Amino acid sequence: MTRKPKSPSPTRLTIAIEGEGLAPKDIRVRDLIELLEATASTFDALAAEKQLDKPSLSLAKITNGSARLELVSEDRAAPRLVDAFWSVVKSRGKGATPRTRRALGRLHRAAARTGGAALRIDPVNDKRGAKPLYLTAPVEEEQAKIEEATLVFARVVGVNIDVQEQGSITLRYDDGGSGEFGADLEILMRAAALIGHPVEANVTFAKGEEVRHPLNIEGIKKRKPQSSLVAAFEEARREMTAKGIVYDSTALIAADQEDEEGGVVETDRG
Amino acid sequence: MAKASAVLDTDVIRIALDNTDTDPSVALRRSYVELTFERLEKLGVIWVVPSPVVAELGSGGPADALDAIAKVLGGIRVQSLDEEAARAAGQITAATLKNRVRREGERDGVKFDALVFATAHQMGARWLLTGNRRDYEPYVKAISSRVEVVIATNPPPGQQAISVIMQSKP
Repeated sequence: MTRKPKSPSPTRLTIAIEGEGLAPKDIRVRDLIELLEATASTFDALAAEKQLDKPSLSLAKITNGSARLELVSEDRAAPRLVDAFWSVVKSRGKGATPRTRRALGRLHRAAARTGGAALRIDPVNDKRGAKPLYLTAPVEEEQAKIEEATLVFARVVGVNIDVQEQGSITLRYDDGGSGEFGADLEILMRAAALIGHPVEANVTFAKGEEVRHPLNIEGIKKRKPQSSLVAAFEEARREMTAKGIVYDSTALIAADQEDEEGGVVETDRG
Repeated sequence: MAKASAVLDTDVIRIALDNTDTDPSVALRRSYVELTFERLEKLGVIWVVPSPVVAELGSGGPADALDAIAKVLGGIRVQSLDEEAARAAGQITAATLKNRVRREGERDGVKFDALVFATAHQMGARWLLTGNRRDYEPYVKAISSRVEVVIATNPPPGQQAISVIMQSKP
């Protein structure tokens, strides 16, 4: 697994649950966890929207005033994502993808559950003169969006499941591009078993005038290979498996390599 | 216009036949091989297996698998090693031996890979699909070949890598 590139100095973001006489000890642990999870999910959604790596966020400290949570990230993409977070809170999610808007709504609900009067977002990296923002519910999109249901041919390239069994599936479309969709647990588990395989998926998109945003996967199944050669190999594998034959390419390639060690050139197989 | 040919080497066939389904990295390599097959098939390629690959496939692995392999090969053109290709293989071997310090006890000899590459070169193949880049690179130079070596076990150019398998956030 590759390490994410780190920025020279950590990016800081402070959010605060405001309320008269409210202190960190007044926040229930479960509500705090949901608030942090909802914050992280919003960043994940923004990262997907901006096509950046998901940031690794840490809780640096919790202080009084009313209950201030200081989050830090050392990822190189973090400053861009914190700016995007600031913008999306300021615009109340207007123009953001459905996923980001859902995440923002969840954050708003999580903040309300803590019992505070409002969730305050302090100016990024303590910019002088900037005023804090207060999180409000995402605005209803004025522009009517049509939900489009369609069938896509793709490969599953990512499955994410969080602690609340909320998840997403990333599909790479056969005709180019990719999309991250929401899905229920059953679909997520099915997709996890299909990683790397060609699939056909019943999906929905929110369709704007010019763009369409992935919404959900309603159904997914393995697709018959489009290539006759892939189909021929699949048939051969099925036949061998049915006969109890194990064809272990790693062992065979290693043996080929050993046989040729006494030969001419070293290899980098495997 | 004649269709372009794509030659399969032994590693690629072995990976495509792998039915162990236990090692995710093997499944990933197989997935990339399949992607490469799909992409090239869309270009209308003719699949070719050089006869030395048939020999290498038969030299190892479960004997019972040979039937299944024969069925796959039945639908693919098998290209014989002719005299010209054999000469090219000799030329490749001579060039690579010249640039190499041999270890004690190491044998000289023409590798299967040299025979495979020479066959691909001689028949004018456009691509050679392999999982083994380092062996073939010197061969391309040795005989100034126009065959393009494609690492089929890597993501095809322009495709994003399959990097996220499953995440469970703490």
